Amino acid sequence: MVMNDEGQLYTIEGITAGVIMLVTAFTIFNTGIVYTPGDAHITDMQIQQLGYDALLMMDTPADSSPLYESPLAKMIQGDHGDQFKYEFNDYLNKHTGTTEIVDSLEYNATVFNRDGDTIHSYQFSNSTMYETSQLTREPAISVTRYVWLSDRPFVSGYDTGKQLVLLEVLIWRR
Amino acid sequence: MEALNDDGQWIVMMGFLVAIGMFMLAVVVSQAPLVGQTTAESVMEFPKNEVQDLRGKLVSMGSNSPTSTLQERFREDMALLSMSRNNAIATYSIDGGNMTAAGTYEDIFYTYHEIDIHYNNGVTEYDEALLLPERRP
Repeated sequence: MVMNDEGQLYTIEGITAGVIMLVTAFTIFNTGIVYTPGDAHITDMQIQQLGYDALLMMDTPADSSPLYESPLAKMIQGDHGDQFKYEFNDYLNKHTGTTEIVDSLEYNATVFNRDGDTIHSYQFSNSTMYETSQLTREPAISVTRYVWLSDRPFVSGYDTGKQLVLLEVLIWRR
Repeated sequence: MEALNDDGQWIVMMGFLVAIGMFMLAVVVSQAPLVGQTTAESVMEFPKNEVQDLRGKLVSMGSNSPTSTLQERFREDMALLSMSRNNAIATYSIDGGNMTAAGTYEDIFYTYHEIDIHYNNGVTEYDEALLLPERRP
């Protein structure tokens, strides 16, 4: 019997179709799917850098001589949480004017200082908390900054004298 | 079976090539969020801002005598605060064991304090010997 070699193109086509389907199925099941963009760390990283930059700006003294108090240090020293709120918000919302900024960042700032071997803390400032942010919000990002003070913070019961305190700000998007 | 009609093979092959091209592009696009995620993760993991912060503070502290009470206060504040809030071990020493107020190194114009910074948060270990110049009078 002579081999009937017609229909070879159909065979190849069938095999090709099968391979394409297999590869498609493999790709679909093998793709990493990010379900919630908020957990994707991309926005987290941007907020973190924004927070660090804002604190760096505020902690830059007008005089560059060593151990000169920065505006941020003066705010902590004088317990001017409202002033911090105004300036920090201002830095968080800086933009070029070409795009619209969604003004939805909230934060909570805490000051930590050392007294002997213990760490004390008090709440320094926070943004205007909207009710929606109590119900649902994105995870908060922590940014910190060491601030050099020429004396203890305003709050009583702390070690006096020159010292380093840690300002920790939690930032989240409501 | 009827003989194969092999007209239009070019059309079929071009369609096939276009399909493969689109598939390749789709693979590239599907990798984009994954790449963004891993890049952002590694940026956040590396404590660049914390190290820069400590470094900047040390530059303004370096000219003080290594044995002064101010330095002791500063060093312990930094060590305890970073351990309790930043999960990091941060410490430094100035001019090593020599404890020379004038600085360890000098040339015609400057004396230099050697500030050894050590930072370790379990993921990133960072050591630096920073030479802080101070103009000679």
